[in-house]
Amino acid sequence: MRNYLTGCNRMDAKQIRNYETATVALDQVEMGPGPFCMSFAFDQESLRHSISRIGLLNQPFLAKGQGDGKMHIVAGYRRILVCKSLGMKAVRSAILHHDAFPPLDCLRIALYDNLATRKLNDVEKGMILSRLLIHTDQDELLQHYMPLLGLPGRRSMLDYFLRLEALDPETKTSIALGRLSPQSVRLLFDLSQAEQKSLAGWIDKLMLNANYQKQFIDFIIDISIRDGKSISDLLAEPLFTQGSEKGSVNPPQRAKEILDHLRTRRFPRLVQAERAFQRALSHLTLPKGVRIRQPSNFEGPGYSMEISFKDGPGLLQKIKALQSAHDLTLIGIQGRQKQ
Amino acid sequence: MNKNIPINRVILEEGAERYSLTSEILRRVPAAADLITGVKPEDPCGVDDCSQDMDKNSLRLLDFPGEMLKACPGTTNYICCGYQILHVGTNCPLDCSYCILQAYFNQPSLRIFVNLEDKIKSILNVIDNDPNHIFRIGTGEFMDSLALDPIVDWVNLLLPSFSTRKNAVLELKTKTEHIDGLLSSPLRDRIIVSWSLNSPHVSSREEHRAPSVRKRLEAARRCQMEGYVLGFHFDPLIEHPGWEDGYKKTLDMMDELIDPEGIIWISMGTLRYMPDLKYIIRKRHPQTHILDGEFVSGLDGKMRYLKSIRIEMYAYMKSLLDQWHKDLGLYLCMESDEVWQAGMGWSVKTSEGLSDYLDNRVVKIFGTYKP
Repeated sequence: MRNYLTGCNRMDAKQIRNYETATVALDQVEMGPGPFCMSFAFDQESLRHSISRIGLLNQPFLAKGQGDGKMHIVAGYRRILVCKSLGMKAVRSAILHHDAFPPLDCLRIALYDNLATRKLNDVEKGMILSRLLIHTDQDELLQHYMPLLGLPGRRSMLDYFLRLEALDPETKTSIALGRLSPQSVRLLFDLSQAEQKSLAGWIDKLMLNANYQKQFIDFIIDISIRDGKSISDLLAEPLFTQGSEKGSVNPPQRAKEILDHLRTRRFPRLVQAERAFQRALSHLTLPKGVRIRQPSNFEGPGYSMEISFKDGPGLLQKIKALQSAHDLTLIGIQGRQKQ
Repeated sequence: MNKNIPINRVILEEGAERYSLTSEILRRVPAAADLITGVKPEDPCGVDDCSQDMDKNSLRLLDFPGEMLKACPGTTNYICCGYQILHVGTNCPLDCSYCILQAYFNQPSLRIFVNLEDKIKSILNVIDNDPNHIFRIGTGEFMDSLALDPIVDWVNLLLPSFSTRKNAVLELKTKTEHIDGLLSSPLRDRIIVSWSLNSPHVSSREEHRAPSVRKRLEAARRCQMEGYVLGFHFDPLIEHPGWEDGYKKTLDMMDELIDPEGIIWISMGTLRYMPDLKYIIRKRHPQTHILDGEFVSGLDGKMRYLKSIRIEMYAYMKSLLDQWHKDLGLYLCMESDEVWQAGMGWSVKTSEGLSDYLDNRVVKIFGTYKP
């Protein structure tokens, strides 16, 4: 029976018709993530549960290889992995012959199969775009495929997703699981795979949010370049290897400790100025519930004060206390001198 | 940079061919350069990733539809000088690691606005119609004023118009030695030739393709000897190991080569950048150390050195410059009143104050003007 796609230029106008089906021995199937694979960091458990209970509902699509006679998985990679892990020897499959289904058509079949059934993670989107780029051009990706993947068709965005493919596998797992923000990933691109892996590992361990991730990577890269020390050497320092000085702490506490330490190292004079300001403040006779803050980064022209009070008389009392606190006149002067 | 500007491609946008400046430029570009014609303005001409490749060996000639004379955008919350930019092109064949033009992603190639001649009349009208205002105008904001002069010959185009305007000065700001056009012109009045300077350390490591500080100062000396008024810009001042000695070396060279009496102004500004530029710099100049300093977010959203560092650098530079000569027209670019006061020992207080100060320098150097 001849298999073919109807329609003309655009894949989305084509449809698969009359494909052949056959029972295929699983040892005839190439099990590695082949040229059409679009799955990364997936959970097999629910699928395993389903197949073990009621069997394989939807047949995979396989492409007959030209050389080794092995079958490549076009769609159904996870299903076949689960079937194999359940001890099944063969599965009923749709067979696509390479003369009727060139690689780009196979990729499209895989893409639509995935789009219809699940949400793709960013690494998978990168895999899809990289694989498509072998057979089509960037403009087609920007105009047609990126919107299909729910992505804006911007060149910088395409560049981002294409670069995901080259990352270290553990880093990719962190991205797929949503533990690494895209902003942080961009900062990792130009590092070696070992450096990516180490930094992504620490971000995972410290459970940093997107803002802290960026700070962490920025601090490490800046210090590394400034001090001529490799990132691996920095991450092998006692700060990272010897655990917390405070003994047993939870990840957020440990994260704060590490970020504070890195900030002090990255901005020694700023931190020194902040500490000097705090020391100076501690010597002032401020009424209870009154806080004075320095300008952000000491850049702005003015300080700010916050007064907490219960009621009007309480406020008046604090204002009177402030009026008689003559050492307040030192604030601006001290701030400038200590900075 | 060598006077043989390495242009290997000339891109003519649609409509550029009808300007005489285009023909003149085409006569001067290397014969071996490829010529691509009829290019649409939105066509990047094969440069897909400007963050990596600014396409600095391509000259792109275009009919610029926008205003060519505009107020310098300056920055918010800091004191600015009220400068006017004569926008004659964008990008520059030099490749300084700190250059802000790297952030202009959608504008690769060395862009020359060939309709300048057509626009100049209206620009002069703006100047002439506001006789009480002194226009301090420069072409060096979005490009080096002289780097491409051997090919474009802006000097010949602009000097006759500006040297006859009594309420305007034209500043040509450069890091190059491309002064042949200037030296062959008979016009001097109301023209300022300025060099951007740095320490030899920064210059050799960060100002790629630019001549050494000494060569710049030798070019400045020749211009001064030929009667041009000079300006200098220590911008960006960059903190680096031994920066005090580094900048002193530059001042020693100035002392050796330049007569301070003929200087209209010397500006200073420490390195500042929009936050995203950091990642572009890291990508395009992985060896750079300009980002090593302690940068904090300023009141305008740009990253700048911690205030105490800026004050220290300005105070140091001012003390050296004061030792050289007491009346150099020193000023700070995009700084606060507090930093002026602490770093310079006095303050212009406001942007208007700085503008008046610099206008007075114009009057002092070029003579009184009464409309």
